Amino acid sequence: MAGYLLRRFWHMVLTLFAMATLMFFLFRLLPGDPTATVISPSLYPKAQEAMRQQFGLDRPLFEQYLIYLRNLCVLDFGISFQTNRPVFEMIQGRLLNTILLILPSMLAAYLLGAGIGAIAAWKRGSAAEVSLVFTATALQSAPLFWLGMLAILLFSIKLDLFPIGHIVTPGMFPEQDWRMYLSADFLHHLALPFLVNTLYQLCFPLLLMRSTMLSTIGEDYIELARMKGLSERRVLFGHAARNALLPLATTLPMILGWAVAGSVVIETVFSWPGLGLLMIDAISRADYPVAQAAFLLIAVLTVFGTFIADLLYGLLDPRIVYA
Amino acid sequence: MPTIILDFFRAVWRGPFGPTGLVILGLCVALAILGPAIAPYDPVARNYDAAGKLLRLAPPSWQHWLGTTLLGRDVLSQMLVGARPALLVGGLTALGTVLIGVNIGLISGYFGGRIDSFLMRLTDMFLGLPFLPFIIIVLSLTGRSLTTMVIAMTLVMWRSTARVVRAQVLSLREMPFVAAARITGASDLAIIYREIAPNIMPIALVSVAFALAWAIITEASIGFLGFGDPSVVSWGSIVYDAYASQMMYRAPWWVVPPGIAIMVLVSAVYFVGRAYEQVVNPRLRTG
Amino acid sequence: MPASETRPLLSIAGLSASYDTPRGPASALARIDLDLDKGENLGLIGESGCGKSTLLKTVMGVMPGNARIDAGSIAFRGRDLVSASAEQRRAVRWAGISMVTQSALNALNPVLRVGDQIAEAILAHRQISRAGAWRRTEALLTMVGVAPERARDYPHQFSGGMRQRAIIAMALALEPPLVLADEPTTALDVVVQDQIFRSLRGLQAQLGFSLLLVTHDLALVIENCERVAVMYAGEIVETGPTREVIRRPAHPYTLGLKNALPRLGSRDEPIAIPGGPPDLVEPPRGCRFAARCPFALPLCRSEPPPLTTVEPGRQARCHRATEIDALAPLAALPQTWDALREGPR
Repeated sequence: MAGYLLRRFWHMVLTLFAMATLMFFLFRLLPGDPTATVISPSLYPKAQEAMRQQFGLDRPLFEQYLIYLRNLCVLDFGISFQTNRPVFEMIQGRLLNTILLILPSMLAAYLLGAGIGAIAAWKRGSAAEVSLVFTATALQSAPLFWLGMLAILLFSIKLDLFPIGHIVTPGMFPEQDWRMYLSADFLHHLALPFLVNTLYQLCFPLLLMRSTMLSTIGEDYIELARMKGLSERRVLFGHAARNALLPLATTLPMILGWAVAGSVVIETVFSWPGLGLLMIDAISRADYPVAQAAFLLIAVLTVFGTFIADLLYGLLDPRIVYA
Repeated sequence: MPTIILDFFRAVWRGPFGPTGLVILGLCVALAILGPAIAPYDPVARNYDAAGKLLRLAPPSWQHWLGTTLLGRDVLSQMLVGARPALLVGGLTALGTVLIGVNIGLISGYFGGRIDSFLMRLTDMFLGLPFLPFIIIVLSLTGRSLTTMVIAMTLVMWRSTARVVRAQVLSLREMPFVAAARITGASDLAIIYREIAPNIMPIALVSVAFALAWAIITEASIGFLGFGDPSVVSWGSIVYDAYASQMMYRAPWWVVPPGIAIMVLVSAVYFVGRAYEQVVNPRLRTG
Repeated sequence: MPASETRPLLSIAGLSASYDTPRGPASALARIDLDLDKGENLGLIGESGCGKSTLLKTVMGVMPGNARIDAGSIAFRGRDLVSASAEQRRAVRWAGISMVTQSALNALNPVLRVGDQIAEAILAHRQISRAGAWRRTEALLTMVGVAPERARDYPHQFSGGMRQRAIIAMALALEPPLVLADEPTTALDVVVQDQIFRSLRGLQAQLGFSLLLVTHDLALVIENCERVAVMYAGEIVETGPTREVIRRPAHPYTLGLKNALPRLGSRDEPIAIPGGPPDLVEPPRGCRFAARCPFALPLCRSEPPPLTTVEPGRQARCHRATEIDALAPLAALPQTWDALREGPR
């Protein structure tokens, strides 16, 4: 078990390293001055020169790469073009905001999706089940940003139930501190993006749970469970659902990756100050150090999510032995 | 190849969902071809009323069935023109995804050993790559055009196809017909492409469908985030224009149609893909 | 209950069942009559696809969705199960009639502990605490020769023989008066097979349940069952005491089965019955075995034979059942069957 964990962790580090490398070269492949993505062109020439030396940009490419890696290891992502503040300061709060938006929503989506999917399999063939499958497919096919906009249009503007966006009412917490996350105002702002994201994300586990359960119905152990005189409900939820959870769990890493990546969209629609919105804003202002750091952090979240999900899978399937 | 396409239609035609999806897809393809020709107005021209006043955010009327935008552009015309980039980007990406994914899956699964572990490590890395953020970074660094969009999307999407195909090849590799081909002295390449590849075509086709669905949604999302080709009107860019103008909540006719169009098109792709998968994948046959 | 003591424990009468196929309904069971007394062992023998498993599933009430009962009754302790409500049937399952299933690997749910799968059967029928059910489960495993602490293991941690023992423990969990066994040891090697049957007989002496053993292996029936029923293409073609039936079969199909049995000390090759079972969507108009029978008369092809009593307690579904003593020597010769192989179909 420890050996497996270590190996899996090592793979994770390798993947992140490869991604950082990819980013380094991608940002230097730009046409024009390769340093334009590292040093703000708006600085005085003298200041630019000083920074060029500080970041080693006058050295050969390979040396630059080593400096870049060293800086990453000590979480030095450079200086923002826009605010002239260290990038690290700007992104740390954002990371938490993204996690708070995505993680609870994904957990809710998987739990609800599995539950509703199992009920759908139980009520198979009924009109309610057919329309549920139809609705879930349609929802899954809709663009998330559009669902978010419709939700704002309906619940915030027409019904005035939720605020239109942002994480708290602007000006309420001038200093972004931890007390903000405990306020009712925060929860009020979180509610709508949480609901929209959960509703959208639960379609996939729902449909998968249903079809996997239906495909286990022909198995011998399901027949035996029925012969044992277990109620139909016990047969489906105690046996079929338990087995269908496995294929469902294998999809969790992939879906978690999509959800983190999708945070770009949902954060934009709801002006949620997370990593995704930070990245989009940074790109549109040509603030490359911030964009790169935000991207790398999103990648860390994705890869780490995959890691956790893999471990979870091992807990569910007794046949898996960590060797 | 023609037989597999024939089999495809025969398989999908059963059941209510497959044909519905096929009909909608057919309509969308027709729209992608004819859209610009049947659009009643120039999608980017400003429209004025009889008095010569700009038609800002005009609600639906007989002249403009889906109303107008903030700049007085006809929403219906934009919708009709917007089908082409959606299907073009989606189709090309799906094609590229499957070409790369199938080949990597075939090679990885057939040769095994070091080649396999290298390619699978590569696939794992791409699986960790955040989908949308990566495409946006590439687009912002290399310029916003449909071509770059297709390339960037293909780069991140081949990974899942490769995994599915590899798993299938691993079991096919042990089949008697592969051993027979090896005994008769067929080269590795001949075995891969003549013996194994035809057997994974059904799985590859399922993968095309799901890649297409994803690519269409992603194209729209990129358009919405403002990283689409600025010279192209797409369903995503219509929503972006509405969003960027801050007028979207005052003009539902501007925002609702593109979302519905994407939803219907992608649902159709899912319906066709699932109907086909149902026939191809023996595990799903009973369900 | 003196009334129910005199009746047979299980009495199947005139049972017909069919399942839907793309070409139309297939007659899987036709006019099945079968009685099983308390404490008795009955062997049900026939080749695969003859309807043995369908019969068991019908008795257990777990027919697949495309199958249905067309006629007849299944009386358990004098009460008909076919007309009983779903709730009544569920109560009889396992507590009254349990089953030792085929292919033990797939019969156990791979993601649940073996002990839990046994305990849940107890919990579904008895008012008992979880801890109580678990103690009973451990006792059951001990009884079938599996260490009680293995109850916490998952099926994949068991050997094939242990899985089969666990399935037996599960079948006996509620001490049902009737146990059905469907090819219980086909997947196992001969030594383990023998051990399993020995412990099954021991348990039977201890608990006194009746056994309905379904198999294609005549040798198992000879060793374990007092009475045998031979099944062919959805019909019972012969029933009687096992010794009598084997010594002097009353149906040509049974003669053929006996030929397929390797004889100790004989150099003769076993003789197989040529051909395959008939199409059940359009079953033959006359005897279902006629096409493969070397003694078939024109009558056999036009009229279905009735189940006739050959001797007290022995019945056969054959037009020539009374002449069988004259036909038996011929049936032992390979040429008799070879002629059928070459002749016009």
